[in-house]
Amino acid sequence: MPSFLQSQKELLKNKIMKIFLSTIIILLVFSSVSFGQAPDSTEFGHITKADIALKQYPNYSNASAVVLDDVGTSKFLIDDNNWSITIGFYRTTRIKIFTDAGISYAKVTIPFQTGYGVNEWVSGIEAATYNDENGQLVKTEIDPKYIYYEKVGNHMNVVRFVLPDVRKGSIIEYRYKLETNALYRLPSWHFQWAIPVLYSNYEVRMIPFFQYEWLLQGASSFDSHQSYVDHRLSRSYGPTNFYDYVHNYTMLDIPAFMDEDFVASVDDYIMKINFQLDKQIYPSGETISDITTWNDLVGNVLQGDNFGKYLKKSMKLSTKLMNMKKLQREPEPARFESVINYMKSHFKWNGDENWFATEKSEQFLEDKGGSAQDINLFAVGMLRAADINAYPVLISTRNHGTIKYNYPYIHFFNDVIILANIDGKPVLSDASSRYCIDSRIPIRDINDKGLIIKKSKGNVSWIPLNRTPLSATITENRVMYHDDSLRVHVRDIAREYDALELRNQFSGDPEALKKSLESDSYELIDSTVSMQNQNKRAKPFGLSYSFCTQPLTMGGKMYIAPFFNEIGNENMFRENKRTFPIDLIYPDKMEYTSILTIPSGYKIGYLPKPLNSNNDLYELNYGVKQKGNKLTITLEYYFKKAIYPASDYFRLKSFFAQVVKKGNEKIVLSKKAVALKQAGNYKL
Amino acid sequence: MKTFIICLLFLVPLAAFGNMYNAEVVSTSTSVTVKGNVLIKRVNRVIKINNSNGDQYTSVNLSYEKGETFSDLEAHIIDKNGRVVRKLKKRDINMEYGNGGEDELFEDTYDLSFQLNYDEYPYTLVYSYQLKTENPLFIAYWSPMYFSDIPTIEASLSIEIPQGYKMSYHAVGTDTLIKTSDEHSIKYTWRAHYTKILESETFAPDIDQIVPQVIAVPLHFYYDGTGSMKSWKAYGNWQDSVLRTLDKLPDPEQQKINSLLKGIKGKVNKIRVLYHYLQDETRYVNVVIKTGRMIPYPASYVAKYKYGDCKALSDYMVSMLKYAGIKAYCANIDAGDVIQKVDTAFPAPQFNHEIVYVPDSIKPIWLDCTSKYAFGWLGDFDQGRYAMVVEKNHSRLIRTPGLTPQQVEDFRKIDVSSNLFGAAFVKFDNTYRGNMYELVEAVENRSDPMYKQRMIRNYLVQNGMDLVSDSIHQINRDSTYVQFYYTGRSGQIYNQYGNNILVADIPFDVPDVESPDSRQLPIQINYPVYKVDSIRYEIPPGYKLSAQLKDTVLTTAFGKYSHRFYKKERSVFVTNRLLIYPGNYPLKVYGKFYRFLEAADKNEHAVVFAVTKGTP
Repeated sequence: MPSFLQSQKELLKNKIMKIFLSTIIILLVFSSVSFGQAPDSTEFGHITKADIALKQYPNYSNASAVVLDDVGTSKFLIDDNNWSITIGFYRTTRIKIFTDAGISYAKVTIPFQTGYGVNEWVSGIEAATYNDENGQLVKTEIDPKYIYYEKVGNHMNVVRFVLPDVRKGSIIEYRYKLETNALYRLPSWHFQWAIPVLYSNYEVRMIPFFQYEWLLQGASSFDSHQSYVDHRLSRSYGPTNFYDYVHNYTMLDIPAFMDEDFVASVDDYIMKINFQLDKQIYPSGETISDITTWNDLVGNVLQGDNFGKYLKKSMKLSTKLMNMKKLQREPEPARFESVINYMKSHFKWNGDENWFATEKSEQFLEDKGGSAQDINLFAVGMLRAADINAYPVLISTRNHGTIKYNYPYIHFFNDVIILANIDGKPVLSDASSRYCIDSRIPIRDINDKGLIIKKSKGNVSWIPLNRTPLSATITENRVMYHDDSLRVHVRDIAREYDALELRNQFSGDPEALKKSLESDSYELIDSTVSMQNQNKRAKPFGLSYSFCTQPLTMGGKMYIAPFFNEIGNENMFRENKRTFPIDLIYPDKMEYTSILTIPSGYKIGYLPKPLNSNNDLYELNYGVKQKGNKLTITLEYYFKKAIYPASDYFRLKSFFAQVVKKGNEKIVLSKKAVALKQAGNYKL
Repeated sequence: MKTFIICLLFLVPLAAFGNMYNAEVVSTSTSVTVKGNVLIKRVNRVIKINNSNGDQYTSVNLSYEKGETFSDLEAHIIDKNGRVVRKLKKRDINMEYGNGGEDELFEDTYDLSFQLNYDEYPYTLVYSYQLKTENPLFIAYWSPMYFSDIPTIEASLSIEIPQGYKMSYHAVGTDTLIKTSDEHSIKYTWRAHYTKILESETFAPDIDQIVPQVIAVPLHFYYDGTGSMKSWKAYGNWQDSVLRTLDKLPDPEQQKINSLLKGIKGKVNKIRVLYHYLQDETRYVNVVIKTGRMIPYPASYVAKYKYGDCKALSDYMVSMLKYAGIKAYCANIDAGDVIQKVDTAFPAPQFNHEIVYVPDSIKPIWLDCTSKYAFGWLGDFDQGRYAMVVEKNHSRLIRTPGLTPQQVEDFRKIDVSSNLFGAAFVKFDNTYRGNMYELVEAVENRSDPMYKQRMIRNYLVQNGMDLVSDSIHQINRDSTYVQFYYTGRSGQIYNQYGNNILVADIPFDVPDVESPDSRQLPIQINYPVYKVDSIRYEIPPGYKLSAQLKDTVLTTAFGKYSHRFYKKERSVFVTNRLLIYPGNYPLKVYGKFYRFLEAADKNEHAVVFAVTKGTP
């Protein structure tokens, strides 16, 4: 047996990734069922009476559809001239439709890429629908002319088709082949869908010239896993004869994936297997290690034209944009600020994310913008030109999932940010985020850790991305009673990410601010609306406005909710069960103060009770103080963590219910001398 | 010199707006020339960007269909000193093909896009292109409003047609038409501007209906056959001649219809059976290829593959009905929740959807064949507007029936009880019609469980209510109402202040409308709004009623609102009712309309009664 295969076996033994995510709980609940068996046959077109008779999936009777079997194979295709090797990915999927909602699964979209050195093509599509019509199995095949190839961008394409004659009770089946030259990216396999899956099988037929590492997520092991040499067919490439080495992974009765609120990326939790090219072994015996360690990965990235060379070129070009000699005379913080400010005000992010530069640096300058990594890599070059110790940092943005640190896979990353050493302190920055403080990264980047791209003889360095400072918003209301109405002047001061969210929301547009402040419950005084420090990113964002509203009066008493509608009446935690951690992104503190001038002729009739609740998860303080005719009511609440485990969900829910309740409590003022009962709109 | 002239052109109007807007369309000119059966459209556009928030307006998206010839695309940026600082290059252009968007599986269309930015403000984007179309159905579909949220200072449309060529047009809001001619051609020129920025508003016509517009069509055309837009009858005849070639049902389908209708008595019952068959076995899938924008796939295609767009499904339904001996016709309609005004004197494709009309001397039946709702239900999408019924030599505009208050009534029976800790336990027994019927029915019958739960939790349950249990019921598939029961807890209904408890109303949503200060558009209420809440509140044990919200009755020309209260034993009963009539009103009465809704909303959010410690 070739040594490659031995190493594969070792690999299989040692590299089972044990990510004990909470989805496993669901898996255990659902696993001991009668459906937990491989089907009799997964052959295309083999529809059984049992499949036809199936009316619902017993383990999840609400399911709109169920994947009966989903079978994939990836194998290496060697062309007749022994010239090129590609990967052929073959998939056959069979789905039983139970409800009208399930019919949506009869619309199939297969994406494929052309560009950035990747050439992919989808072919061999066959699809059919099976219906039981008066006891007869009727098959309706798709006409190939109704299969549509679409171009959805300069580098992406999709094939779309709909299965014909689909209704409740139908079984749909389709298969296709996707051929790719991207050998570094052996197709991954999702075992889990948004509907239950009865049988999912993925077979990878390895050849001795490529070695991959693999990573299972969402489960600790497979229901079945076999690895063997397939001696049935000998193949050759150049002088080397070989047999395929087969890895076969099976999962049974996989529950539907259920999304939840406050989750950064479902991709972190869904059950799937990923592969990464580890080594290429030439027929001559020469071995090229693609990635074996993070150090190697960093080295490879730095050597790339679209990374390391781009950086060097950016550094050179920077001198044309700014007077570096003059700039170098400035202190480090000022230099950093000048460079980041220059980048933010001259280059616009086009919304793309990638871990490598997508344009040449000259093109980037001409275009006045580009992808986030174009901007940030150029910014690193410019910082270096300004004599600042700066490095690019590879990250995975929030919607792209987290990085598994035991596995040096480049596909974990999708973006680049900036690390600069300013006065001996590490500072993270993202020049593609216009309103973000220069020494902060925007919310989309806050996702565990980033890999610092710098040459190093020892271990690579990672930098935490989630060490976010406390964000806070302070709201102060000054409430005066005049002419039977309350006039309220509000001043908000937002710091850190609270400020960033407001800056992004309004983009400095006073009309957008006015619109957001309009409310049915008060009359906004337009002339009082203003915002402060929209473009002064380092300073807190401020906004102020005034409004008039009518207090509730009943029985000679005035009822005033001191925070009006600022806290709202909705509990943001609404789920009745929780599986995944609750990702609130950053710790956040909200402080509300209302200073109420007690109108003459009134005295305090009732004050809400103070409340202090403080633990490791959150803090809530509510208090009322009186000084002369001024009543000061304060409410503070504080989420102390950015991410909470799922087990804390109901504590958070109950906590926030308290916040809402206290935030809506009213102060009662009574007339000092009750000469006449005031009824207003009320009968007494 | 060319650059200099362009600069002069856009510098003149700048004085009008300065930097008031993030960007402005300085000029846009469209010139259309018809030569034989070919239409050549040339567009020049100049957009000035005043600050970084205006950069978004440099994103240019142009679409053209397969078979059309797109050419001569040029674009450049001019800086504030009038220098050309950037030119469009091939690599700046992003090209997509076939991506029809959410509602379409495939569209035979190219989507070209690019964005040219600059980093010093102000700067100006200038671009132009040409599009050649053979046998067009439209000569122009034009408005000076290019972006709704920034002004267009100057806009012009010119159409040059050969002498003898017949064209009809619909023009509103433009400057006076300038018409010139020579021995070979006639040239029409319209100028207009869009300088008063309009925004979509509640209970208002679409702003497309308010801004200047020119639509021009050939009086005689060729589109899969010759046709005419001389009259609705002529235009309908063209559609009818096309549909007649598409209505043949395959034999198995005819047999299926025979078996479905076996033993079914009465015309309405037969239509119902066939409509249910259509609903159960077909689905809406839109594919636009070649003439597919106007001409459906044949009925035989739908019979075989069981899907199609609105035209194909309607034609299939009409074919089935005809086979069953029932007269039925396809009808063009401009669907959407906001009714668009059809210019009845301008026979032209003014529609975006197709439904089926079954004539009847007592009660005609309208069927939307893309709908999964009850038999005969049109909903806000199709109700109360003109539809062009396609009937040979008798095509005409007929109004679809408008929704009545009874068809849109949302009735909620709510029972509120208190516990010792001040929390309320609330049972809702809601009967939804109208839009809410459509929403809840779709959530129940056509949503994945995950989506359904999220919709219920986040959108269907009363604000501030912690959901305990829920269920949805529909008596039968043709019921035009659906019942939604749920129970919830709330800590915000019984609010204790010392010895007093104030009890908050459980409000229904009164439509949210703009304040009169900012309102720009007249009032257009497309269909009635009718909400009724019947609520029983328990008086907490140990308390007695101390105050109650006075009964209220508001009666206006726009509708009425009432709040009624009575106490019986240990319960308080409240009935709130809001009815808004459909109708159109001028902007000058908007203040009254606003005050009516404001008063109703205020009442809905009031404390409904107070109790104090003590025995009654």
